Amino acid sequence: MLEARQSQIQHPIWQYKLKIQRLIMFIASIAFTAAVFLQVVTRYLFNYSLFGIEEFASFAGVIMYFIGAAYATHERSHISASFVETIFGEGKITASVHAFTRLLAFVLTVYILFALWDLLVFTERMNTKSTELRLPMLWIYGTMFVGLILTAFYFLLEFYDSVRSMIWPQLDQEKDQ
Amino acid sequence: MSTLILLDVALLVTLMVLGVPVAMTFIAAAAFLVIFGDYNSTTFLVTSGYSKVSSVVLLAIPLYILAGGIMTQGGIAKRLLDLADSILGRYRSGLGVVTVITTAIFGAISGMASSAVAAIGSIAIPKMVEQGYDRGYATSLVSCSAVLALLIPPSATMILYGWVTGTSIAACFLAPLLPAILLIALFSFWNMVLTKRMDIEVNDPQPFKVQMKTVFQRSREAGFGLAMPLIILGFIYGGITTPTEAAAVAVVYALPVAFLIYRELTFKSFYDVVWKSAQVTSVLMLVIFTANMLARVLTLEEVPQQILDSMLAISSNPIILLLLVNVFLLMIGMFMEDVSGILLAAPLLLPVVTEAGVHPVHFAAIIGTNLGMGLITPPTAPILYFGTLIGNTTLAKVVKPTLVFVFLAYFPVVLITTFVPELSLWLPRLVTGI
Repeated sequence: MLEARQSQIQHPIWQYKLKIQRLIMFIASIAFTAAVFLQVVTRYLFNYSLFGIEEFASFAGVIMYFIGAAYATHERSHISASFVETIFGEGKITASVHAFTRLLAFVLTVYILFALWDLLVFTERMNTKSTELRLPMLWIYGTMFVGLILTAFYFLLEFYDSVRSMIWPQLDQEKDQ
Repeated sequence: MSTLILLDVALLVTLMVLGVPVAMTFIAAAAFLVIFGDYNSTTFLVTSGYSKVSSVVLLAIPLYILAGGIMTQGGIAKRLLDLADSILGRYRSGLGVVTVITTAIFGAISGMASSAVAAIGSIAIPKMVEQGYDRGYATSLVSCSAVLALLIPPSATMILYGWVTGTSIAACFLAPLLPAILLIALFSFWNMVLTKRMDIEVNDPQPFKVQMKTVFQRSREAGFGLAMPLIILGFIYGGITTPTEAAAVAVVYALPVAFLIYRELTFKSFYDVVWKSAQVTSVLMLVIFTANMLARVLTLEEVPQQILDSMLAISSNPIILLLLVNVFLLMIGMFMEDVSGILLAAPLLLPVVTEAGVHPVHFAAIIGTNLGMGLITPPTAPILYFGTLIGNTTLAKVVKPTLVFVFLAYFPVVLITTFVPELSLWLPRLVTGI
């Protein structure tokens, strides 16, 4: 009943958005793997350490984590331990609780977004740069911000789906058939 | 402990039970303390989370998951099962033992209990059912064995523990290894006992020469996969690389094995396996990000000291303290998966166990075995639930054999690990000289 209806959306913009997210996750993964491996090669074979490579790898990691976390919200694969469905099975109670948990998840993500926004404003004002590569920290925090906005957006959509399932369960059954 | 902290714990547990994503429950608990505590700003929550997830040490986790994902896509699971089956498959309970050992080895390669259930379970469970094993029992055996992934190096859980507590990751990798071997032995023993009444069919034994030929051929096929954890550990304990660098080497090693030797990885499936591994990692990293926000507030509220004082108020006897720690960890394990459990429990309980005279490396083994037991102990038992999906069975059919494994294998190992420190410390002392 609460299956991902977002996966059924075929609009080109929606699909491009997902493709871009997957591409960013792929590129970031390859980037930090290559960076760490390159460090192994240069350090242990040529006895030479590349300046800033660890910072580059960790930035690629952070970009991947937040864009990936948003994608995981779209896929509904976040870790949770609900007893509600086990006890009550599928039905209005489970759908109501699910709707509540997703609304709460949305509100909590927005709470963190406000904290991150304050940090973004501060970073922009102080023109903070990274220690080694002197990259603007605004870029990294900005990526986190984009990832969390998408996460909040997907939680909101899931909340909408849950409310729909709660009010009109027959619509889901018809669609499943 | 203060009322505010107790209310915060109640909020955390309630939200988890309701099914709020674990990462969000940590934000809720942190926000509760910030709102009702004496804090002027919330920005420190984000910076404390960011400072932790941007650590290079933590990059080892996505790299191990990626290496495991590439190997899984390359078809290592089937090759490992075939090898173990050629050695033990002709014995009556052999396939069960094969499953335990293969799941443990696969867990070491993939570093994730859930991957081990999915990869080994999808092949081993139908095979066991075909031989006459009960489906619920087969599913339970795979799920319980998969938890060994937490204990056999290189384990993501031990990387996290070492990172959170500032303990040598190389030593933490080795601490739960002997308890894991003990568990493999106990699972294999109880497998023989529990399958006695099952009507299991076994293939006719082959002549010795034919069997040796099969074992040799299958060793050659599985050898490339089996070599991966050995390469990782060789690089770390040989002092050549850090755990993160060894993980990057593992990814680079896995590529030609999956592409050129096993020939089961295509460019399309490579693209998919990379972004899917990234997604799995991101879920864990969001939990780590938010758990660090909560950990920061809990530290500011002096919660570790409050827990220590509360436990010392009950008893200052080290045995009682350690029993209390075990109960605490088991409860955490029953409600949270291993990553969240480690992030929450390790910094909170380390002062308590240090007071009881426990070495941090010994505590790595205690926390690993306890949280592992929690993963298969109802009511939450996330790995057991996942196993029922893979094994196409119901929880009711899986619970009975699981309780046997929990009470007659896991529970004794948890107690031995807790009260016999040498079991966890001997190997790290021998190899790393802690």
